[in-house]
Amino acid sequence: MLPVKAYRDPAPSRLKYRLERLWLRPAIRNSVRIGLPLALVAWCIAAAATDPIVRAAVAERAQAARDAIAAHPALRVDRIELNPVSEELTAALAPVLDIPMPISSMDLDLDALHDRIAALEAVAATTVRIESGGTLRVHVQERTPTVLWRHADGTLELLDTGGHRVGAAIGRADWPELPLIAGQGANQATAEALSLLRLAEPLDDLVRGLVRVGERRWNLELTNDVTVMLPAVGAKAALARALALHEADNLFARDISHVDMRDGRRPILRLRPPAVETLQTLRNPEGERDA
Amino acid sequence: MSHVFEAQRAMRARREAALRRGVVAVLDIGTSKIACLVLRFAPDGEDGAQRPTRHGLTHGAFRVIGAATTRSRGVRGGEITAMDETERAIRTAVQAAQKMAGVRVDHVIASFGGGGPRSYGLSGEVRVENGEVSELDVGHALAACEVPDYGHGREAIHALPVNFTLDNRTGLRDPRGQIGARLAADMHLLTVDAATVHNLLHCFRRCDLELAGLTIAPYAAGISALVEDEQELGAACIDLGGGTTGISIFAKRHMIYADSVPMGGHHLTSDICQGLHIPMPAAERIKTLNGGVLATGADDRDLIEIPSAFEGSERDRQQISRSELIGVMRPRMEEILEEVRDRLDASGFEYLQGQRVVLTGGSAQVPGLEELAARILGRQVRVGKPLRVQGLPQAATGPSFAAAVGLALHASAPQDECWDFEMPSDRVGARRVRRAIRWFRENW
Repeated sequence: MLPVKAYRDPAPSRLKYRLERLWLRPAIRNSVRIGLPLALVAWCIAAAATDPIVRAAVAERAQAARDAIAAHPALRVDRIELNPVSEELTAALAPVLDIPMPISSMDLDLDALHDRIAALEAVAATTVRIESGGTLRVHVQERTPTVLWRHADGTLELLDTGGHRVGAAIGRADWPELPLIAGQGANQATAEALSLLRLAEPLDDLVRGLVRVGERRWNLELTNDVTVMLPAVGAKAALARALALHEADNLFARDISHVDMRDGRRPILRLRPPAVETLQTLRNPEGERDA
Repeated sequence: MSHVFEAQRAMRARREAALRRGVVAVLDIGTSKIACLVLRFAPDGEDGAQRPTRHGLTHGAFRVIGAATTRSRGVRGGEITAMDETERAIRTAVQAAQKMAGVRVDHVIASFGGGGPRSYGLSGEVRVENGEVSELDVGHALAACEVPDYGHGREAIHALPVNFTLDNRTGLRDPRGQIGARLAADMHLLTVDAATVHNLLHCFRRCDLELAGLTIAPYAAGISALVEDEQELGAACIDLGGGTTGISIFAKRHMIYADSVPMGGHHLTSDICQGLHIPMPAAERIKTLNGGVLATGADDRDLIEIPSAFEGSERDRQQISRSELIGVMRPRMEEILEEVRDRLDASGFEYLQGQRVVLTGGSAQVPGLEELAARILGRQVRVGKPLRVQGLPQAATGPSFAAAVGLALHASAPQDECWDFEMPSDRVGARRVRRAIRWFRENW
């Protein structure tokens, strides 16, 4: 029998032998030699990233660095140059362009500024850019009001050629040179309205305005309560024809209430009641009325 | 036999798995040393090695990538006597070899010297089923061999079909595909002590290793130490180990007889130790450096200094002549060789064509052994070194590594054994059916 108390043995212990064999497994070896360091580094990074103190410090550093860069004189913007626009628009732009100067171009959000300017009603298009020498150049293309649109409740709105709202008008008297349109959906056919009105220019003061009927066609209202009803299609030709009639026969000065041009074959006139009577008397000079 | 059949088959399956994985260790458990070689099999024919064929790998298709030797402990006469010690020794050897190879080995093919191998020549005869001999017929013929009652505590370790006879033609190596009516098979059955094998199995299990093959050392030594002609014509390989001397006789490339003599180099050492009154390590040292078995006139004048039996006293130095040492060693060597001669005579070795005897193993390095053996055995004798295999370190090419190298060769080109053939169903199947029926009867 061997001594029960073991002596020092050159042979590897069972544990060492097993570990050695485990170590010779490629999967184990690679995971320990490559996987473990990677995992350790990943854990360190994750621990640092989730630590609020470290995060705050990093954020502070980043902010400080950013500020240092932003403070560079080449990035400074110290004046705004605006192209000449109307007073109303200048007033509307004032709160938008109220930027504390000087400011670093890194702190200036040009896109947001552009959007805010473009959101103004009276602005058709705008470009905002920073030019060398610290200039913030704002170029605004203004919408010019070309027509007044009267709503059913009597409020007035200014529209440009494309039918876009430019602003509200307080009274008709403020814009005496602008033609007037009315009716629902009138703003969607502003261009047609303007061309019709241009055609009706010879009538001069006689024109009162255009009324959109059923979002489909136009009525030309004259100051002497004559209504020229124009068709939905071929309105210009119909108006030209009516104007020609007026020129030849002084049509609109007659005792009529409506000139219906909707039927392309012939104009139809609607007489006022006294005129009807007069016409009847003219047709029946003897009192056929009695009959 | 069926139990052995299944166990061996499982072992064979593990070996196939190991060969597919490409790495297997061979472990020669001797009385004086444990040698471990780690083999890498080249699956894709790199550096000129052959591709594995259907019948396994051929010679040279492997490379030794790790080798380690350690002093054997807890082994006496080729058998485990102290499990713990042997386990440690195996661990040492395997770990060192693994370290050198840089890969982990799970499968081990082992050989051992002891166990008292006993050979049986069996023969069986069957009618060929379809005129042409098929693998099934071979299996039937092998199964028809009358297995002797080899005792309860014994285990069949090899069952090699060595010869086939088809009708009147004998000496067939492979009868498959030939036409005939009666097929007879000769089988060489080798049994060893079951306890030895079970101890060994348990030892490997404790080392976390799977046993993928088990042979006896003389067989493995014969594979590596005998050249092809000797294996073909008939030769005996005598593996002079530390605790045992193994004998294996080869003919027609098959081992036809194996035996072992429970004496070896350790007995020489203990004789020197006793005869000259010196400690064991000193005796071992003197044996290796100055040993011999044939005395000449010069040996009388050749003085060897031997240490005193009483350690530390420098004054009384002793000197003996070399012939005295030879005088101690020679009778023991003669005894071993005489024992071997008796075993060879008993085996019927004299009827073989070739009568060459090849000495190998660690003790075969004793100078003058060739002449002594030739005189005692009365045959041509040479000292055989193991076959050269790729990648084997120079230190492991000596005769003492014959068994380890032979195991490597055996692993790469295993011989067909009885259990590689299909057993006829009436041998295995019937028992299974009967067992199933009994189970039903007991449970329902």
